[in-house]
Parts: sequence; structure tokens; C-alpha cells
Amino acid sequence: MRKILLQRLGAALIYFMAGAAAAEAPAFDYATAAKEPAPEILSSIRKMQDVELLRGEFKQRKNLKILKQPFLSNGWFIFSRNDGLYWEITEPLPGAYLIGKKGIRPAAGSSGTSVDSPFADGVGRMFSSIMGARLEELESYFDIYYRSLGSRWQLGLKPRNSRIATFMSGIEITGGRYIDTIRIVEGGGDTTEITFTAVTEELPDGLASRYFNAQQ
Amino acid sequence: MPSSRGLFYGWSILVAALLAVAACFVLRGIQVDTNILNLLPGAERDPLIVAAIEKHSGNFSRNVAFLISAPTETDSQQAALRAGQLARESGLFTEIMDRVNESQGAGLYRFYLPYRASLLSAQDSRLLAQHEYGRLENKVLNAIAAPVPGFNASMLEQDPLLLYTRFLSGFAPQAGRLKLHNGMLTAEHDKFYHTLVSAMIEGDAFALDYQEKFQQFYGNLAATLRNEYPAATLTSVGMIHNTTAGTVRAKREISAISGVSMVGLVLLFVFGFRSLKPLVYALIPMNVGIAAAFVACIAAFGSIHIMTLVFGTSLIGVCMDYALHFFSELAYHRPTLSPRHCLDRILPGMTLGMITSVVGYTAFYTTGSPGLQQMALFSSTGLIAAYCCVVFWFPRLPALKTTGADNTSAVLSQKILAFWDHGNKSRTPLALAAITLVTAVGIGLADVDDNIRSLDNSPSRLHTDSLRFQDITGISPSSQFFVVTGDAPEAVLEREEKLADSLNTAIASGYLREFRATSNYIPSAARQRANYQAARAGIETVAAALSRIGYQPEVIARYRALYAKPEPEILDFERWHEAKIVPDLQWLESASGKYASLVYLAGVENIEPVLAAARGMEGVRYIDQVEGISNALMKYRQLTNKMVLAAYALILLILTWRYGFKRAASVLLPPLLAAASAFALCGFIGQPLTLFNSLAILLVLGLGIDYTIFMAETRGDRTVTMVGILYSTVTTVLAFGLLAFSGTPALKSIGITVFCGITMTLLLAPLAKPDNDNAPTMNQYRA
Repeated sequence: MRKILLQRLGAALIYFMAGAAAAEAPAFDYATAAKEPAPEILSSIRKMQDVELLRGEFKQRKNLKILKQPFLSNGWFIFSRNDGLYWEITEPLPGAYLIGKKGIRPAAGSSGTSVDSPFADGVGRMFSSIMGARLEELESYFDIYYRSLGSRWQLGLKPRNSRIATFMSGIEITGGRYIDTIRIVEGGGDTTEITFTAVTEELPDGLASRYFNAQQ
Repeated sequence: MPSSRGLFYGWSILVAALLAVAACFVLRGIQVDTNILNLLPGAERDPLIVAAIEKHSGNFSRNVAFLISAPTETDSQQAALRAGQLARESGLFTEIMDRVNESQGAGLYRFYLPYRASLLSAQDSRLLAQHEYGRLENKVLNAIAAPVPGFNASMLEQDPLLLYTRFLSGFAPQAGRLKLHNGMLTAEHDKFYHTLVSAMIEGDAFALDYQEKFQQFYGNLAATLRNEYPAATLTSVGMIHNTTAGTVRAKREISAISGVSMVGLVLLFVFGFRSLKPLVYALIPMNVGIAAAFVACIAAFGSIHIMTLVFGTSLIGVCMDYALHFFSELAYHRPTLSPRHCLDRILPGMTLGMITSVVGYTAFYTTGSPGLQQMALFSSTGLIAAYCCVVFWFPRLPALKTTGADNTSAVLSQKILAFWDHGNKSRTPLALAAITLVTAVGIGLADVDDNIRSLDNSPSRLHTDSLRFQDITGISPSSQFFVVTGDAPEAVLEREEKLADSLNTAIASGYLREFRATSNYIPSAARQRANYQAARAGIETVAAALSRIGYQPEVIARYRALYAKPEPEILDFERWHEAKIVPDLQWLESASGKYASLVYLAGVENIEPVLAAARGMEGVRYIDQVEGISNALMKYRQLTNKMVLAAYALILLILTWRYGFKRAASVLLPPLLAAASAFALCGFIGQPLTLFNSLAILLVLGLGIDYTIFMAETRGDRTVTMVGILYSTVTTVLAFGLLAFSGTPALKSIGITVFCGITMTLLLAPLAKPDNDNAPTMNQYRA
């Protein structure tokens, strides 16, 4: 029981990490965005919320100032409305994660090492909310701005709470039927861009449960 | 020989002084000690180890946790913050942990930063030493590729290989199932959110005044949460709850026992002596005895243990005996004998009985146990004072008009006497053989239980709460730890690191979930140097890896510069200690300039391989509190059994000097057989034998030997003596029969043992009468 007391020390690390970054305005044009969603955006998003299972591929591009070149990685994912997100990186280094209400953790049997980031849990939950387009959940952390791009739409998320704001200045999500890209603008101007391709609701029977149930 | 008048007044003055001192003690405030462990002597000789164990006990007994559960996380956390606020306002706690303090974390980061070149987690230290640079590189790639923007630029800039980050994240053990969210430790379980607030009590969990304040605080906390967060429920665990409940129960039981005991005594006197006046007089030696015992105990020990007070209740039985014998004589001989003569009749028995009891209690002194010594002093002093009251005061008391004797008691007494005094010569040996046989069978059935957990008498509510707490949080209290000692902090840290290496291996093998050592926070200077040199030796390979990952040249140059000097900057222990990075719970310095640290183990699956690996390590000692105390209980149960035998032997010597061996044996046999039968009863009813049964047996001896001595010393009518013994038995059973119903296992053991032992002594007492018994018997009692 006493070890909980020591817990504070490790827990406190979050805050120094959070405090180490400075905010910068994201590229999303908040000035022209509406705070209330247009009906067609809302109906697209409602449709997304009804999706039970989704599979697709992703490419991730991290632009970090400390790196000479953008850091590229790719892989595939399964999203389940009930179970969360299974995220498998195939390149440059294999690794798989389960992301959901309980945060983010390495998938059982994956070669990925555990995510040492103390943000992992909160961000994992948030990431899962984004994939499911669950606006109500996002609204408790972010102010949401809406832009219509013809048949497609764009959301701009600005952190409501200062703790999130210290390490993330905003998130931009672009989509149509499904989400196409997610762009996370971190402190210091570093960005993470995730682009989804080959997204489909057609999954071979039992595929999803294989990845989620294996973790129970 | 001083005149009886002189003795009367002399004793009166002494008693007046005694009562004045007792009053002073009471006014000054008495500390009642309820910790059962204080009855046992410290099993450990090494003062540093003793201090370490005390430190652990202190930590353990001071810790208190509040778990606030609600259907939503927001409610649970808001209510937890309110609880933390109330705890802070109360001033009753330190180290209150509700929400993580932000500035503290940043301070921690800055504190260690200048020394980061020589600070490594245990795993990284091993990887570097084994030149596993590829794995370190992969960890960085994994961290960057992970879909979580956790490691932002400035962080990787200062720590491109993430070595410092992992060193610091080693400070955060998994707190069971609790996860940090919004800066609070929260778990989701059974559709509820549970948030933890932990604290250390600022006071002694065993101190009555603190317990009262805590109870008040806890009641207030529960009420406030009920009002402000009706959906939230509060679960709290901690030693303070158990000690408070223990005190409440002990107080209630003691008052119940004395209450019923008093009612019983009143009835006894009304029926036995047809008057309450003798009761008033009989209470005098008892109260003076208790006052004297109390004064002696406080003077010698400074405090009084709750168990001593319970034994004090038992003194009612012993001190009353003298008065009971006196009034029995008076009641049955009133027209013919003066009080002076009545006293003369019982004086030899009283004197011998008192001496043997006091001698019996001396066995306690030799045990070296402060608790047992306290009981011995309490009982001996009380007995002597009560004896003096009867001898010096009773003959000169204002005229007593006992209105006659009770027929029923006399008839019952005669029946007991007649059973053994029957014409049938074979009855006695047959009856004894039968009793011995049944006793032997019972003892054969008896189990022994020395586990300290069996003595835990916490109410089931607390037990349920603690199970619920463990179920939700996955955290269970640990009593297992290593003590690492040394002449200097550096020596302790180096030894601890050796131990830590073997513990890390044990964790990898699944024998252990985690451990907490001071060297996690401050590696030894030797380890810091080794870390630095290992990182320095691999600098070229690491730089190449950093380049492959794609770091900017200046990031790599800065990393190289960290290892430019041939020797590192060492974070020394004193500087670390003064900075108070962690609550000072695991480190101690003895007065003689030696040092020790506690290394706590958690989630132990299999301790044997862990111990095997640590065996033979210099300055490393393993302590298991539960096992250690249980061992001590066993040792002292065995010791007490030996002491009982020693006491019987001592008494046999005194009795042999007075009666010769054969009669001495007949005086000793009844209490001895009775004691054995008490053990046997425990065997039959499935009550395991503990230290406290053994303690009770000593009491049976102290009381029982008086019975047989009175029987042996009777000059007049044996029926009258038997009536006195009967009344003694009734008073003793009144005092102890209730203990058998106590919820405290230790008291229950004493109760059952004394109840059975003393009743058997009553029934067997006639065996002690002289063989050439031709004393006159009164025949006027008829059934």
C-alpha cells in the first residue's frame, strides 16, 4: 500500500514532460470554421458513428525538428466500435498496440516494446474517440470547429484544458465517408500526420475478434 | 511484633499515600497500550535491524488509504479531491496524496538532469554493459513510431537515446490496477470509478487520543461526502481503523465483564451471606490491590498494557478469595469465633497461597518479555496489597453482623467433599484414571496455532473493506522486506544494488512483481561511474545509431559532449538525501553511525528462489513480519509452558518443605490435572492452543494452588473451607467465563482455559486434604 506514496514521483514526470513544450498555432483555419456543424457534416459523422468494424492501412509521417528528415512508418489497423483500435506497425520496425478506453498498450505477442510515454493512456483514449468519431467524448477535452469541403469535411480540435494544451496545440481531422487524415500539431511545431488508405467495412469473419480476443 | 493496632494504622497511612499517587497518575493521563505485539520481547538483538523493523512497523501502522467510488470518473475524482482537502484541513495527516503536484515533477527532472550521463535504469545499465546497442536503437524507433505523441522534441533533444527518461520512469511503479488520470490514481472496476487518496497519519495509531480524533475526522468525511456526492461511496483501509476498532471492543468488553462480574458478586453475597456488607468489605482489599498494582506498573513501565488490565480484572477473583474465606469462617462460626480468630484460622492458608502465587508469577520475570513482566508485577503487587488489607484491617473492622450461613452452598460443598471421601476405596483412583484418560485424549486432539493472523480480531467490516480494496486496486499490504546495512551510505547502496540485480532476475522469472529500493533513486557512486564508463565506451556505436535514426548533427554532438570528460559528475548521497526526493520511509541512520535501508517486495509469487539468490550477501537480511511474529509467538508459547513447569517445580519445593513430598504432591495434583484438562477441552472443542492458553494456565496455577493449600491448611470444618473455595470459583468464573465470549481471540483462549481449569480445580480440591483427616465435620447441613 505504501508504494502508492512513491507513485507520486513517477506520476509527476508527466508534468515536466508536458511543461517542456511550447504551443504554436496549427494550420487549420479556425477563422473560417464554424463552431456549429453544418447538417451534411453532422450526417456524415453520424454515419461514421454507426460503423461497427473498420479495416485499413495507414502511413504515418512525423515531422520532428530534431530529426533531419520526416520519420515515416506504415502499417494497418482494425477499428471496432466495441473493442477499440488494433494498430500494427509493419515498417520500419514491427510492433502492435491496442488502443482504447483503457489507454494504449502493446498487443500480446507483438514485438513492439511498451510505449513508455506517460501520455499514452490519455492519448490512447482520445485516439480511439477520434477513430470512432465520438464527438461527445472529444468535446470534454476540445473545442471543436467544423469546415465543409464539398463532399468532404474537416474538423479542428483545440484543447480546452491547459494540461493537454502544453503538449498539443491542435488536431485536424479530414474525412468523407471515413477519416482520411489526422494531423496532430504538437508543441514546438512538430507534427504527426496519419493518412488512411484502403479503408473498408468488409472484414473476413472472425478477423477482428482474433485480434481483440487474443488480448483478453 | 508491632501491635495489631499499630499495623492497622500503619497500613492505613500507606494505603492513603498509595491512593494519592494513583490519583496523580490518573490525573496526569494514562497511556493504555493495545498493541498485542508489545507483549512480546523484541526477538532481534542487532539494534540496527530492530530500528529497521520499527521503521517498517511505523510506516505500516501510519498508512491510511481512502478509496472513493462513483459511477462517473468526474464524481469519483471530485469527491477524492474533497476528501484530500478535508484531510489537509484536519491536520491529522502528512504525505497526503490525492492529486499529483506538478511543480514537484518538474523539480525532480531538473534535480537529476546535471547527472544524467551516469544515471541509467537497471535494464539499460545491463544493455549497455552487454553492448546491446541495437536494442537501445529499436526502443527509440518504437517510441517515435508509436501512434502517441508522447516524446516531444525538447525531450528527445536532451535525451536522444531515452536513457534518462527510462531512469525517471523507474520511479513510477505500477500501483496495482490504478492508473493515473487527470493527475489522480483511478481504477475502473465493476462499472464504477475508484480514486485513491493516500496519507500517513500524523500520530500513533495506538494512541487513544489520536484514535478519537481520527474517528471524528472519518465520521465527518463520510458525512460530507454523503451530502456533497451522494453517488460516491467511501472505503478506507489502514491500521488506524483496526486499532480504533480494537480499542472500542476492548473497552466495551472490559466494561461488560466487570459489570456482569459485579452483578454476579452482589448475588453471591446476598445468597451466600444474606448481607451486602461483606461485599463492601471484600471490595476493599480488591480495590486497594488493583490500585497498588496500577501504581507499580505505571511507575515501573510508564504505561499499562490492555492485557495487563484484563489480567487485573482477574485479580478480582484472587483478591476476593482471601475475603471470601474470611467471611465464610465468620458466617459459619460467628457466635463462637471473633474476627481475630477467624483470621487466625485462614492465615496459614492465605500466607502460603500468597507466597506460592507470587513465586509462581516470578517465572514471568525471567521471560524477558516486557508484557509478561508487566502482568507479573501487576498481579504480584495486587496480591500482596490485598493480603495486607485482609491481615491488617479485617480483624479491626467495625462490627460485622453476618446473619448466618447459606445452606445450599454448604450442601453443594459437602457433596463435592463426599465424592472423594466416600467409603469406597477404589473410587478415587478410578475417577482420577478416568479424568487422566479423557484429558490425554483431549490433549492428543489439540492443535497448536502460532500464526499472528489468528490473533487478528478486527471486525468483519474491516476485513471486507480490505478485501474490497485489494480487489479493486490490486494492491495488498506487504510485510516482506530486506534490510540492507552498512557502515556508510555508499556501502549500503552498493550492497542494495547487488541485491537489486538478483531481484531483477527474480522479476524476470516471475517470482516477484516489483521491489522498491533506495538505490533506484540514488545509485551508488560506484554504479554511477560504471554506468558512465559503459555509456562512454559505446559512444561511437551509439552516435552511429543516433545518426541512423535521423537525429540532427547538433543533437548527436550534444550527446557526445555529455561523455567528454573521463570521469562523471557524481550525484552524492548527502546531496540527494538533503533534497528529500522521496518521503523518508526506507532509509535510516543509527545513533552509532551505521546505516540501513528497507527494500520492499511486492507481488511475491515464490519467495524461496528470491531468498536463495540473496543468501550469503553481506549486510542483507530478509524480514517477514508475519512469519517473524508468528515465530516469536511460538517461541514464547513454548517458553511460557516451560515457565509454568518451572513455577510448578518451585511451588513443589515450597510445599515439600512444609508438607513433605507426598502431601505436597497431593496439593499440586488438582491444579496440575485441572490445567491439563483445560488444554484437553480446547482439543475437544477444536480451539487451537496459543500463547494465551499457556498464559492462562499460569493463572490457573496461581488461583488453583490457593484452593488446595486452603484445603490442606484447614484446621477446622472442611465444609467451611470448601464453601470459601466454591465462592472463589464462582467469582473467578464470573470474571473469566465472560472472557470466553470475547471477540478477541487471545482473551477467548484465556477465558476458556481458566474457566475449565478453575472449575476442575474446585472439583478436585478435596484431594489435597490430609490423609489423617479426623477434623470435626458439621452435620447440620442437609440437602
